[in-house]
Amino acid sequence: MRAKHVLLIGEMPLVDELADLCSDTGHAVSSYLVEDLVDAEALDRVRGDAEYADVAIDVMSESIDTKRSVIAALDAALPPDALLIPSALTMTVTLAASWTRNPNRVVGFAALPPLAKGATIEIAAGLRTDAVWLDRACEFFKSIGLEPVVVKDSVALVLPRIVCGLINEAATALAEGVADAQAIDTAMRLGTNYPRGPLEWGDLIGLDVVLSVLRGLHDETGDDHYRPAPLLKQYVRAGWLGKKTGRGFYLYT
Amino acid sequence: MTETIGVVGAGTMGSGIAQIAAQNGHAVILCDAEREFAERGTERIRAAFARLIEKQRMEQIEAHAILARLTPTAGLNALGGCDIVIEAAPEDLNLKREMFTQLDTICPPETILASNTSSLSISALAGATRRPDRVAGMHFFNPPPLMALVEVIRGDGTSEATLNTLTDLARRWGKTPVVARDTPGFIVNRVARPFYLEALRLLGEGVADAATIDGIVRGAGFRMGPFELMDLIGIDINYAVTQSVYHAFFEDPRYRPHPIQQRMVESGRLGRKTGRGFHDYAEK
Repeated sequence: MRAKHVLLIGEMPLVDELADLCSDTGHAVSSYLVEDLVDAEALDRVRGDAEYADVAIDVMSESIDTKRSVIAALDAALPPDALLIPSALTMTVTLAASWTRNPNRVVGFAALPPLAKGATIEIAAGLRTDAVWLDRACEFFKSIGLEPVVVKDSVALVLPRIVCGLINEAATALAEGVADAQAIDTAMRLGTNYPRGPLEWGDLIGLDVVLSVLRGLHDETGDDHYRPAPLLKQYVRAGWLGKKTGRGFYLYT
Repeated sequence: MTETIGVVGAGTMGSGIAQIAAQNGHAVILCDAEREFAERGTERIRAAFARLIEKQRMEQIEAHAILARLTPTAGLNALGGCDIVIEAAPEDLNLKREMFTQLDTICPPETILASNTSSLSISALAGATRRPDRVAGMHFFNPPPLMALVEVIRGDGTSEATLNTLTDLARRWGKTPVVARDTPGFIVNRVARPFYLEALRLLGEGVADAATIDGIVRGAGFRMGPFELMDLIGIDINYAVTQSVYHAFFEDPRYRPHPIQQRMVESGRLGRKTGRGFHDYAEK
């Protein structure tokens, strides 16, 4: 595959991890953090980059309004033969695609940090996505060293839904004083052979992202099975988002 | 000081716990309802050692010395000389409470009475004794000799001293203890529920098939995917744990079981042990 211009917009750490994978495999990358999109000028720069992009990837989970305006703006600026790849962490691909005039070229993805070469990345077609675009999305992710797996359009797809469920339950247990954070993470690593404890994983993903995933699942299904732990809401309100802010369930110096 | 350890129940868990204690130099009284069941327990341990000897990870002479520390017995009466008793009988609250009441009489007041229960309340067991300060949970994982984790459970009346004795003992046995409060599922059986329940929902909703879900989860660093793990544990066992936690929380939708697992149990597809679960296991 020839080198592409890849435009990335969204949150840490996934924006950086994807940017690294793209540049390591010879693609040209321009990336923006959500917090940089503060004014009309910033959005104009994004539109400018979009006009030359082959692939635009959105990694935004926090604000539905921001996501909607960015996706609509991207769709309007991107060439018609460019891939538009929204994250399906907090909403379905079909919903994100509904904010565009070209839902046929919208393919969603879901992944959790840490995302390194060889990792699995889930992708899904929206109801109006054309099959040829799904193939192109697969090829693109393979070209940056990831292993794409196609699943059905749903909120959070497979891995984030399972992992955020674990984090939600771990946070609930923590809030009820069942055990302290270290005990909970140690227990889950040793008792069930998880790669890392749910609380430390939550800090790595970003508790704001975890909360958004759970809210997305709760809204989509209307099922209280997914109600987010109040403790997560409190931590996000306090700005304790995990590693990226120096504090979550643990302290990071 | 090497404590005399009593183990109640010579099933898989009880024998495994007795094995660990004996390997660590303790005199162990392994009891069950009948002498025959207790002896089956020591046989299990003998067989485990035979496998280690075959792999040259244990000497015959060592095995003999360890086995000599084990005394199989019927009933609870022989446990009067124990410093610590670990109960690993069937998961029946009334049965266990009855045992704890008896142990309370048989054992001197300083003896710690611990339970390996995974689903019953430690405080409820403590309530059947006059020594709630000396009653705690000591929850091992299957198989006990191999799994590093031990959940040490603080009942409503458990003293710090009791917790310290048990966590210390677990460490001396090469285990990693974590202390948890007496709540349904303690830590692991509760926090692990979404691993299985979300997978079942994803399967039921047709988001992906079992093999794909297992592959995605393994790709993220888990040792096994949820469906192959349920097949290994036993779909019936996994379902029973889910139901236990669900009912203990008074049907909180968080823990709601899934029709797929019920259907599989009812149709006899229990996983590896029946040759068929979410995956097929061909006869070798």
